[in-house]
Amino acid sequence: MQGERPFWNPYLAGFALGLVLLGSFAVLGFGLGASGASNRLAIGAAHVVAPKTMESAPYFSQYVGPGKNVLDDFLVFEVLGVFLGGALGAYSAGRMRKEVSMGPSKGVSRGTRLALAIGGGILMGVAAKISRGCTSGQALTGGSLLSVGSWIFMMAMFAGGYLASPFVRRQWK
Amino acid sequence: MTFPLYALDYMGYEAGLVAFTLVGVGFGFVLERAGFGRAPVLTAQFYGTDTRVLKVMFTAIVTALVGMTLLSGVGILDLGAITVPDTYLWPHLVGGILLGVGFVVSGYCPGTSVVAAASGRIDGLLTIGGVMVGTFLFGLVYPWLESFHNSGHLGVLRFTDLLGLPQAVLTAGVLAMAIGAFFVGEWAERFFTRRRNLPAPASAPRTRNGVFAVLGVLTAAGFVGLINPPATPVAPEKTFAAMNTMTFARTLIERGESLYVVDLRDPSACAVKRIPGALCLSEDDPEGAFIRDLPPTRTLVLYSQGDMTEIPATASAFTGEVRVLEGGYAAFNAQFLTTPVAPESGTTVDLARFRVRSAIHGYLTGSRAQPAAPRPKPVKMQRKKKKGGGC
Amino acid sequence: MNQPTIEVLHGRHNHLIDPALHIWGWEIPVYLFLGGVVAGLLILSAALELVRGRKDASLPMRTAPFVALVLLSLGMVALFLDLEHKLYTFRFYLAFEPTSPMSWGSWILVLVYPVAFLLGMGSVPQETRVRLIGYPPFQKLKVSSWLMCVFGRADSLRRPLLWASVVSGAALGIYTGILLGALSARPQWDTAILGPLFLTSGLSTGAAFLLLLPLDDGERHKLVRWDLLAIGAELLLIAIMLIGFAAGDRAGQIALTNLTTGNWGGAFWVLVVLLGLGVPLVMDLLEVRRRLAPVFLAPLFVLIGGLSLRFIMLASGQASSFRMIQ
Repeated sequence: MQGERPFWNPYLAGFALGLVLLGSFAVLGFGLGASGASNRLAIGAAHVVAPKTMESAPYFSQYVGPGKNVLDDFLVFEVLGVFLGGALGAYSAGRMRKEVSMGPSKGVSRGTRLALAIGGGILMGVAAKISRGCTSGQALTGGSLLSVGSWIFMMAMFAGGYLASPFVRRQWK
Repeated sequence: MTFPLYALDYMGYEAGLVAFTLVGVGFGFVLERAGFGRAPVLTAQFYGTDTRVLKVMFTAIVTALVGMTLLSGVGILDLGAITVPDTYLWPHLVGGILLGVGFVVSGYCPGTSVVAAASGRIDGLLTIGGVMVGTFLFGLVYPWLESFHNSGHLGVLRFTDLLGLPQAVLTAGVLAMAIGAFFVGEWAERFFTRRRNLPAPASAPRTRNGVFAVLGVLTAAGFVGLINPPATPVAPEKTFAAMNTMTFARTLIERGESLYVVDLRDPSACAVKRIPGALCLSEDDPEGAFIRDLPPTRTLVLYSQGDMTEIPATASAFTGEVRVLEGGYAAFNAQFLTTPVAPESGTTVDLARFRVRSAIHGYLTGSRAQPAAPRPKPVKMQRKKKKGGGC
Repeated sequence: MNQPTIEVLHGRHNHLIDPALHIWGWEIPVYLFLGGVVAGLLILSAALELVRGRKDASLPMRTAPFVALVLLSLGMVALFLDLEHKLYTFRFYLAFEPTSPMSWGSWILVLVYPVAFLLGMGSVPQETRVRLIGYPPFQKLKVSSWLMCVFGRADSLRRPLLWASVVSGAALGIYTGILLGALSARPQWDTAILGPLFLTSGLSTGAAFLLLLPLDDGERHKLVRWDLLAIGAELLLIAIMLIGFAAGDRAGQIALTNLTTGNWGGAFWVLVVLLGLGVPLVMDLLEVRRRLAPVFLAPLFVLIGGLSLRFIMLASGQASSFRMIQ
């Protein structure tokens, strides 16, 4: 067994990430995304449970219905790729381990940490739908396309993070 | 311009899916190597002890921006074909703030939570679950949020339009801004880690300077496109092969199920008489929108009264093979749909032509071949037909 | 001049006129997948003992033949659900039709049961045997004497049984592919590669199934390497299949485009080739080369890929037909 490999230099990692993004623009003509796949996954799961209700709801019926496969979508495939790439990266760097990520001094209990992970996720899910994209779809993609709204989103995101950070300081200490 | 391949139809949907999956693999791999599979690394951004998020994100944005500017400057990449997200002022502002809060609470953003889950982090997996629930909740309350969700809509609004500056100039501006932000970030790292007696994050200045030297040179190269803007390339007109009446008639008879024949004349004219098996346009669909929906498994043959000068847009959208009937309906009608008159005297070639014509005429109209044709043996005609096809 | 035109229309101008045969649902792919896993389990557990000799195996390895029986039975239930005339299933066993893969299959299934059962019984450790034979209700019902007889047979026939397990497993694995290959009306299934392809897929999914369980180090060491070989062979066979289609006639071309760029093309490349084979191949190689700790993700990917292979070959295969030839 070997130890973990160090993270890449952030500037180099950013350069590599930029090349991936550029590749997406050059090959497909659109950028990256992430929350859209979770959205479709959730709708797909709900559709399995209650197909009739979902198909009759005006908002959800744009995703599910006769002749529509909610998972047959670019973002779903891309996020599957993200999972595979993340797995390959983590495994080859010796970082794949079942554990809960916590701050160095473990200021909160495991249960609290997991509850916060879910809660923050729910908040981000709502937020990503409101702003039509998340860090990947808006900040990274729209940012490099010089979209005004994406830059507003990016600045607002950093602002929101800094505003909320004192309240969850214990978690990350 | 050839790129973007998918948006310019050089690549099919399924191939696009595979390509985008591979992009995703690259995305996930790089995010993991950047350290974004770990919540403490990500959230350190908000406590100033490690500004990795800022560095990676901005370098990525600048790299992609410089690359696009350069590629479009040399005329390989069509910037206009790239999907730019619309600007919705208020949703972007509110959504951004909420997402930032969610980020620091959960420790991930939607994309990095996938990477965290892939590397075995339970909290990452739960964050994915949370995002799924959140997007679903939004769907449930959407009727009440709809007006807000669409507020402040400004369409596609890029800084190039807003400030009226060329892409290359803005690229240089963003690069300069990014470098400024990195200096602030690194200063903050030193400040906050010293205050907490933590080791400063290890960073190799040489790598950083190298990356920025490369980006700087590429940005400068982007200006070359400004000085010498590439001529706007004319989109190549999609040309269609013509099909002569004889080949068409024979294909229609022998392999009729391999063709769609569409009559582009006036619907009323088409209703009176048309090439057998042809589909007419209808009054409520004069453009022939149905052509687009035909499965591309057959060859589409179009004809109008005479030779055609342009193809309707709906036919250009047909992905299968498209042919145009030479001489149009008039030629076909004269040749095959009117009773052929046997030549009084003529060469054997004339005679053979007549036989083929009358055979096709007989087949298409149901009338018999003219009795005047000497010895109209089908076997012989068949053979002659093959000879005739060569000339 | 103005004579009426009698149109001679081809009925097949109407693109829905040809009957669409899309009759197999989820049951058949699940059955084929489970059949493949069972074939892999039988071959691998027997081969492991043939290679390493008879020594103390881990619990998952010892019980593998019984697990195989359970999985096979589940698969048979799925198959049974698909049958149109469920009451007449017994007729398969009234005759043997050498030219029918279905007949072969039904007899292979019958052969697998006793072989796997005896193989599993032979792996039951001594103390468990004593306890089973000594269990009072068993003694009363004369099960004990039967058990003694079975244990005795399973031991004395151990070596022939191991070989029988390998052979019947291979037959089962190949049969799951031939079952489709025999239906030449589907251009995409009309290839002899399907038999070996499904067999190697069965081997890798069987190995993946075992690798998800707590094996001992020696067993894992061997299985990961065999898994690598099976994945490599499978990639090669898929490549050969695609090249065969590409070099073939019009039907082959249709099969090729249908599989690689048709409605299921994206899923084929992503779920079967990338997720099911490519990524596990890299992860297994890393595990072997860098001596990394094993993770359950690679075997899980192999299993998902194997199941997807069956689903996609069936779904897209049913979308391919000679109607497309013009």
